[in-house]
Amino acid sequence: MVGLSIIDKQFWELVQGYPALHLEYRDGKNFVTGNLIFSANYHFQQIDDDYLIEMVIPNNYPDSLPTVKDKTNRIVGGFHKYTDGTLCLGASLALRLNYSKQPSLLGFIEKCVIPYLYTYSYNCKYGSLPYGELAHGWEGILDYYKDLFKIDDNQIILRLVKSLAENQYKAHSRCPCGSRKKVRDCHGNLLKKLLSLQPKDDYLSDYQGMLIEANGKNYSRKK
Amino acid sequence: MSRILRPEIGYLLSEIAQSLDISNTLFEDAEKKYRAVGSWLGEGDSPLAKFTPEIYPQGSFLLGTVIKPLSDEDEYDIDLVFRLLILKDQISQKDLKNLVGDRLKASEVYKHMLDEEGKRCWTIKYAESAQFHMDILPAIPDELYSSILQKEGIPVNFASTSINITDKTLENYSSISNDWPRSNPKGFAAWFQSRMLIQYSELYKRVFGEAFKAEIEKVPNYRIKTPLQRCIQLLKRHRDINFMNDQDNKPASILITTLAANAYENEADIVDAMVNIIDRMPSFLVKRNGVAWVPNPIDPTENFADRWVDNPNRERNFGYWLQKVKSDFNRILTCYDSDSARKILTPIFGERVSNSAIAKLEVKSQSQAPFYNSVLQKTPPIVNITNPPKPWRA
Repeated sequence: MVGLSIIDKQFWELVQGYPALHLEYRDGKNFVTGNLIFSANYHFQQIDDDYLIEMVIPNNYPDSLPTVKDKTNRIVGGFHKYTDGTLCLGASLALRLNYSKQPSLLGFIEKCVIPYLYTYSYNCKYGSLPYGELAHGWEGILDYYKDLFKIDDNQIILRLVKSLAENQYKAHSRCPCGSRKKVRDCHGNLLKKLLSLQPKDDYLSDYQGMLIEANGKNYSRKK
Repeated sequence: MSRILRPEIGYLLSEIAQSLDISNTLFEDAEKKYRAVGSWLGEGDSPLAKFTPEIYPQGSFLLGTVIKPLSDEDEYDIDLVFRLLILKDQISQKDLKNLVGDRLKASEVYKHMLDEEGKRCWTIKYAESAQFHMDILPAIPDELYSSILQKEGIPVNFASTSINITDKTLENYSSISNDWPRSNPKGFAAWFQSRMLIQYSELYKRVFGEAFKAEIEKVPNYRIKTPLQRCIQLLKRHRDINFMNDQDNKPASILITTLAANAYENEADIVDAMVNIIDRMPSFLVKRNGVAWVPNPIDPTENFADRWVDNPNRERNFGYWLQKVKSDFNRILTCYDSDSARKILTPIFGERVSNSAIAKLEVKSQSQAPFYNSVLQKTPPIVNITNPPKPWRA
């Protein structure tokens, strides 16, 4: 279990900008609850809005990231939300990557939660999603890796993720993307960065899921 | 002396608008009195009871944009519609007007309060202590025009409340005719409400909680004031002061209200709203075949600026006023302390309201912490979203 001091410290930083949030400890867990009032810009389109949120900080934070519920019940079931009300903020690797840019509760709120709420408010106001969405399930994860590597080929993506799952980074071997370049001179930096973000087992499960998705779409799709 | 930044300017403007507003006591008194008139006119043994009468406020009283008259001698005027279900082929305008007038004259109370007959309405003057008088506008529904508007694409909730009213200066005033003057104050209020619904619902939730949701779509609740309503009150005050000695050219409230409501984009902050409204307002003033036109949003064939046609001075003066509004509000944004605020605000809104708002701000900034807190809540840090995660579900 993580020492309370880290959460206390990070919460203090968070509350400077978002004073309507409170830290609560109940049922053995830390919660950040209250009104998240935000003002966010994307491509010069400003949205000001607020949502009553409940964020659970897992006991192994920051190894696991917080989960967030919308207590206003504004976000309707058809949108990206699990049945227990937890918001589907994004693919877990995407959240990891964004969180790593500013690894604190404030960073999580500003890089992962507000962009999601912005999308929802934007959609209510203008009827479209400002930066799109991923398909559900493994198909969406596959799409996410395609965006990330900027490669639109299932087999190459699978090779890249497999190399992450095997965690055998050797600067002088050939890049798994098939460019025939050395890893160091090709996808090396990105792969190194990704390896530092989450344990290789997480890449292994992504790899297995996507393998089924890419090769045998019809007989098994994890929901 | 307190330092004045943008949130403090917002605070000052809200305070000024609030002190221009009708007080809760006065509002409730007016409401009680108009219901009393309504029940005398239409309930019990009244001969009008059989026409299923309805009495409702119209104009700024309904829209929540009432402001105090400039001088203490002037009164608030409260406009009411008194609507009976009668068909146009059964009654002339004159008979409808007199039906209502006679009933008022039959009351021991109202016959002494009745003012000289107006062009379209009956006016009831209350004792000076009441600080208001009521204009009662006799009306009947205009179902034909409601359906014409709906065919033109005006939503049913705006179109269905069209009414016909009387005008004693018209030639066909005393005869049965299909050609009556038209109005639709309820439809206008519903449109006005739709222009600020996002902010209105937010504030409504804060005041009343999640309950009573069904109420929201109806007329504005006077306890809730959106930035749009506040801005209109400020603009009307600015107009009252600027046209103090030129009543004939004074822009009508309906013009200001329509242009501002069109320009408003549901800003939550009063300063943001004001800047945007002032910037966009003139663009909703259009030209049709060379005629300046402010279309009634719920009946585009009606021009709210029709009084300009026979007097081009009014159009020119309206243009000057818009420019003056812009430069005056730009000056307001430069207030930096109490003294500069006093110098800038007093000529624009009047001495009393400006001073009381500044005094309130000073008291508030003495107790630093809560104000600081509320400022923070109003202005969260601006997050610039880059590389956002796309929503995804397993």
